Amino acid sequence: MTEKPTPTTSRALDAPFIAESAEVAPAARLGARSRIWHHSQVDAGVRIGEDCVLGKGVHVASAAVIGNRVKIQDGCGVFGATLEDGVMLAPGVYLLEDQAPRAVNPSGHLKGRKDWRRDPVTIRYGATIGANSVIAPGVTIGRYALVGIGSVVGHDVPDHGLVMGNPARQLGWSCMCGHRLNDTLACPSCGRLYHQRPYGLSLAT
Amino acid sequence: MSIQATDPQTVARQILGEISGRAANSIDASTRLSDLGLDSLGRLTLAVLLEERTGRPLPDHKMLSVRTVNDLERLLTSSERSA
Ligand SMILES: [Zn+2]
Repeated sequence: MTEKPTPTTSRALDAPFIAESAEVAPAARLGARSRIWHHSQVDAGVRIGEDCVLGKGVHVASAAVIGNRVKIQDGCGVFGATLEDGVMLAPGVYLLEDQAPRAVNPSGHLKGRKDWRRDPVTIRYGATIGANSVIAPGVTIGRYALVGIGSVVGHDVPDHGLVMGNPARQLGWSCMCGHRLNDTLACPSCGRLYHQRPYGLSLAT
Repeated sequence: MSIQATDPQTVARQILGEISGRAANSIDASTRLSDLGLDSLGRLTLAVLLEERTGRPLPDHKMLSVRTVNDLERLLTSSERSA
């Protein structure tokens, strides 16, 4: 009898990884090679794409939709948001979705699932949200935008917009590579050039 | 704390001096904010301090086009006139 090597099918290699202490609802969808680390929680109805990383203690709830190659670092709360491919949430980011948050309705009863209207956040391709930032319900963060540490963002951010503060203000523009553009919309680090467009910047071609 | 001036030019140069650590009288109209080492936090501080001391709002889209001290002083003068 000949000894056969253990079959390493791509299916086995592609299986998502879920740490033992994490809780992923059976009805959640989790793409190939995505990794869910310790004490994270993914609720039913959530969809997560391929090659994502959820750090320690992340909660993804309320039918959030997360694309591919998304990094969500320790302690984030993602409530109903849509995250396009390549988005990064630094530690402690909260994406909120209730414009009128109350524990009880006017008659004094505890509000339930149907007592409020979802108004989730959208984060577009390649954008980064700095640590401990909070994004208000209904806000859209543009492609490759950069939200500085500890910001409170209540308004939409254009593509490549660099915002910071509480309330967040736009202070400049950020490159695909993550560096701040200079006055001529050129990146001092990688040399890429950008043009102004109505919705923000796009690469000069 | 030093006495605070009210005319746009002095206010702008005083604040830029505080943020950059340079003497206000070493900053002239052609100085670029990037030459003063202002990063994004520096620009945020600048916008907030200007609003506090002039009592007038400075919209982000107007501040975004400011490259030099001269740009900044013109913006402050125009917001003073329209107030
Ligand atoms: Zn770059």
